[in-house]
Formats: sequence, structure tokens, C-alpha cells
Amino acid sequence: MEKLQYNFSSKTNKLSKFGITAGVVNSGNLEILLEKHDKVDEFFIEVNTTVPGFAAVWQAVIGDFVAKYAVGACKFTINDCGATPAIVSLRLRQLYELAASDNQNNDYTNSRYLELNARERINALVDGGCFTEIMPASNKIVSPHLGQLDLPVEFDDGAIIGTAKIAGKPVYIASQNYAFMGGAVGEVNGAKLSGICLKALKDKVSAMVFLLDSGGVRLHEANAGEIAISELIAAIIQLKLASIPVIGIVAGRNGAFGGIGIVSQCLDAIIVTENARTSVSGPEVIETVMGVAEYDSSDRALVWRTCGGRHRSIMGDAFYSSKQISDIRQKLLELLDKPTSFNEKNLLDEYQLLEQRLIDNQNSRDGIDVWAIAGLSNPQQIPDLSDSDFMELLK
Amino acid sequence: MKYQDLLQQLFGNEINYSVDNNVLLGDATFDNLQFSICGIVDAAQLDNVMSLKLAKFILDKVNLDPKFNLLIFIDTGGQKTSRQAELLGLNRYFAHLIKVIHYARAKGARVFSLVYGSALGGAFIAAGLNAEKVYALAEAQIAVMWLEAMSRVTKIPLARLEELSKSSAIFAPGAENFVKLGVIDKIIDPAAFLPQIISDIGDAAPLINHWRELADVRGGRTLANKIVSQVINA
Repeated sequence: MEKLQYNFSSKTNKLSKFGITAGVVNSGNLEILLEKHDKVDEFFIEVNTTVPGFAAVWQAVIGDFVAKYAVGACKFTINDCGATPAIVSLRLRQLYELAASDNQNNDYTNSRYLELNARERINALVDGGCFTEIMPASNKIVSPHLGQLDLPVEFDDGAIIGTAKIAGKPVYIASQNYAFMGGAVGEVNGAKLSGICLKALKDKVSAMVFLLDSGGVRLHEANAGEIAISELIAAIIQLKLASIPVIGIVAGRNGAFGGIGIVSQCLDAIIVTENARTSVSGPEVIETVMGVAEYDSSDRALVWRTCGGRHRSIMGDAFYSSKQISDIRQKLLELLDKPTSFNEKNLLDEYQLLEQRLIDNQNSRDGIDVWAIAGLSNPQQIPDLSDSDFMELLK
Repeated sequence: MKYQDLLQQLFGNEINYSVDNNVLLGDATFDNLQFSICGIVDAAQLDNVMSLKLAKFILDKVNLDPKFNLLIFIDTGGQKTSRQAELLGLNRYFAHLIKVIHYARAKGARVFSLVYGSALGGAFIAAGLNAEKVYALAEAQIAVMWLEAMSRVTKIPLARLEELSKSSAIFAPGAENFVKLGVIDKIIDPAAFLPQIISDIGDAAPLINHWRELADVRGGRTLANKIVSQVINA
């Protein structure tokens, strides 16, 4: 890791959106945080990079940017993960334009959930402009463990939490950033997730919503991640005991695997889309351990028939939605309005369902077998159906 | 330690148990106190059937008398890595077991776990980590993943990980690390285990675990507790 710092003279800017970020920390990319700088005619920038030895290039690229834009009284901090000069220029401009524009960009009508980042997903689902973030990037509470492995940190450690309203109903919400370390859970982001649950408990909020998108435990801080997931589960159980609905959405890039796959089934309900995948062990892990004959992780169709959104909803482990944000939101509203219960009766019901599933599926080796046993006609055609036809079939 | 020897040492003849499909179930008495016992033996990988069996045992106990004492003995090689297990929703089977254990605690059961062999990955989350207190024998092997596999996945050279393990409790396998991180109360001798549980039962049951506070005190996780408190009070 190398830390570089530069001061440039620059005209004062009237930017007011301090605390915002642009970009994301993953391979070939970077994140920049905008803060106030105490000298009005000076621009200060700090670069934390995983690729040492490029100080001159950084200086030239940043110099170009400062020559074009007035950024006096601003401080930029960069967490870099090997971005090329072109990407650096792009991100610098992006942050500037984001800070300078009055546009709130609250219209997500035509957005795809899959392509939105963790913070945008929250804004797309909750009532316009009402999300208040707790412990945002500007607090700079980062992982204390990644540095010793020469890995870059992200200012929110890959978890966005806060308070919002959905159709006027107050909810607390948490969203995992799949782009930073695969959304995996470490000490800091795990504590943020537990914290927001316990705050929901204390404030007796009407519901807790999780936008899950994670491979599970962050191996670089594995023990802390595993424990954090267990602590999160304990906090979720407390919400269930208090009859506060806990609803999850699994509709992102990484799905919900490992400990987060387990967490998803501890919630009162999850909403999935076609692209969702959820399991404990991922296909690659099973292939590595058991061989390609057991599970060919490169066979995408097989993977989705084994752990995809359609399969999980046919089995009754999830509620299905199309990929439209408006549909996901509609499903979420329905679930938020459904009374939840956590008692002996529903645990027994679940036990019976799970026991019956094992009895019925002793010889099932593929999703198609499971769907046939569930009584669906033409099970082999299910992956090819449109969302609306599939949802018709589920009725 | 073999489970047969451990149980013999703990309860002598005051025990009735059966082991089927690597799942231990039974009842025992110590110091005139009744214990329900369950667990995983022979470092078996926890699968759908086993999780369900454990859950049913506990649900039946809750139904019989919710104020019971439960000991969970852990020796597991992790979650079952099989396509069929995942096809049928292993994550829901694990979650079911977790919910049942926590439900029993909420209804008044006193639940403790002892890692006497291995405790790996998701199976530890599913079974051992839901007790009000977790103990481990000195010989316990606790890890999310062994360093060799971790090195493969993270692309960090094994030598580097081994070097860092000496000073960091954060990712390296080992029961001592889990003590430092606040999740294992202490490393304990078999002879001291049941007297310790009797003493724990004498205290009020914690509704929610205090691992974060312990981690703070023991210096294993320096931020978790601060962050949670800060978020709760935001």
C-alpha cells in the first residue's frame, strides 16, 4: 500500500454535497470521497493505492483534472484498487459533477435493480428522498484488518444502513455492496448490520428490510465475519420475537451464499428474482471439494436449476418477483403488511414441510425432478418461461 | 476426543443416549440436574437430515417442558458439500435449526455448547453458535476454513497467512482465537465443564449474547462493540 498526498492551488468552489462518494473499490477501480478542506483556494487530495510506484502518473492525472475544474476548499480521498489513468479521470469528473448537480436523480422507474449499487437500490425502493444513512462513508469507519494484507478499504466497508419510509411506513434498511469484496461480511460491516437490527428493536420500528447480496463470510477476516453473522442472526431472532417483520430481497449479482444464505432463511420472508441464487456452499466450492461430476459450476443452467430464484420460489423458500423495480417494491409492500409470527406452531409447520420435502425428494437430483414432484406440468420448460408466465404457473 | 469417552467422563452411568447418522441424542443427569443432550459426532458434515433431527429433538423437548437444560456437543467438519443438499435448500434446514434453538432459549431453556472436536464453517453457525455460552476443549479445532483453502481462495500466499496467524486472531484457525474474539467463553477441561454449567445455570439467562463486549475486553475485536453501540444510539 502507498499513501500519496498533493496540494494544488485552485479557485474556490461552491460545492455543498460533502460526504458523497463516487466509484467502488474493486479490481481496476477506485472510490473517492468528497470532504470540505479548510483552505478556500487550495485543493487537497489523498490517494491510498495498492499499486505503489506511480506517484508521477497520479500527479499528472490529478493535475489535468484540477486545471479544468475549480475545486478549491475541497478534499478528495481515494481508495484505489489498481485503476488505470482513464478510470481515475472518469471518477474524478464523476464525483465533481455529482457534487455540482442539483439533480437528485430520484427516478429509478427504468432502472434495473441488478445494475444499481447498494445505496441506489435503497433509494429505488423507499419513498423518494427519505433515506437517512447511518454511519455513511464520510465517517470513514473502515476495516482494520485489510491493510495488513495489502488490500484496499472502502469507506462504508460494503454495508449501507439507515432509516427510511416505504409507502409512508417507517422501516430500517440495510444493503450489501456486492462490488466490494463480493459483499462479504467482516467485523465492521457485520457490526453495522447487527447494529441496525438492534436499533430497530429498540425503536420498535414497523419493519426491517435487508437487501442481501453477498458471498457470505469475508475470508480475510474469517473468524470475525463468521461471528458477526451469528450475532446478526441473534439480532434478527430478537426482532422476530418482538413481532417486527424482517424482510429480505435477493435480486442482486452475488445472491446470498454461505452465512448470508443461512441468514436469508432466518428472515420472515425473502423476495427473489430470476437471476437470484442462494445456497450455503456455492457451486465452485462444491465442485472443488467433490469434483466436476458432482457439480459442474460452469453449467449455468444447472446452477440456476439448483439454487436459482425460480427453484427457490417453487419450493416455497422465497417469493418471486419480476426484475422490475416497481414489482419488487410492490411485493415488498405486500410482505410488510403481512403479520408475522414466530411460535411453536409455525416452527412445527416448517419442520413438517422440510421433512416432507426430504421424503418426496429422495431421488431428486435436479431442479426439474423437484418441480415435477411439486406437481408442475412441463417442468423442463420452466427456465424458459417469461416472468409473467412463470408467476401465473406459481398461482 | 471420542464422544464415547467424553460422555463417559462427564456423566458416568447417569446417561442414556443414541447415535444415529452421526447425530447424538439423549438425556443425562449431573448433580441431580437433568440435561437433554444432542450433538454431532465423528467430525461429520452437517446435512439436511441431521439438522432436522436435531431440530425435532429440541422442539419435542420444548413441547414437553420449555424450562429444560440443553447441552450441544460439537464435532463437525462443516456443512455437507453436495449438490443435492443444496438443491433441497440446506440453508433453510440450517436456519430452521437455528430458529428452534433460539426459540427454546426464548421459552426458558438453558442452552450451552461444547466444541470437543472440530467446528468448521456454516455448521458451527447452524449448531454451536446459538447457545447462550460456548465452551471448547483445549484440543478443539475451530476454523471457518483451513489456511490452505483460504490461500487458494484469497490468492494470498500460504506463508504470508501463516506468518500473520501468529499475531492475528481475526482469520487464523484455533480455539484460542475464538476466545479472544469473544465467542468462546473459555477453554475448559472435561472435568470442569459440568460444574461450570451448573454455575452458569445459577446466573440469569442472557437474552442476547455478550460476545461483542467480551471481544472488546479481550482485545480480539476492537471495533464491533463500538460500532453496534454507535448505530443503536444514532
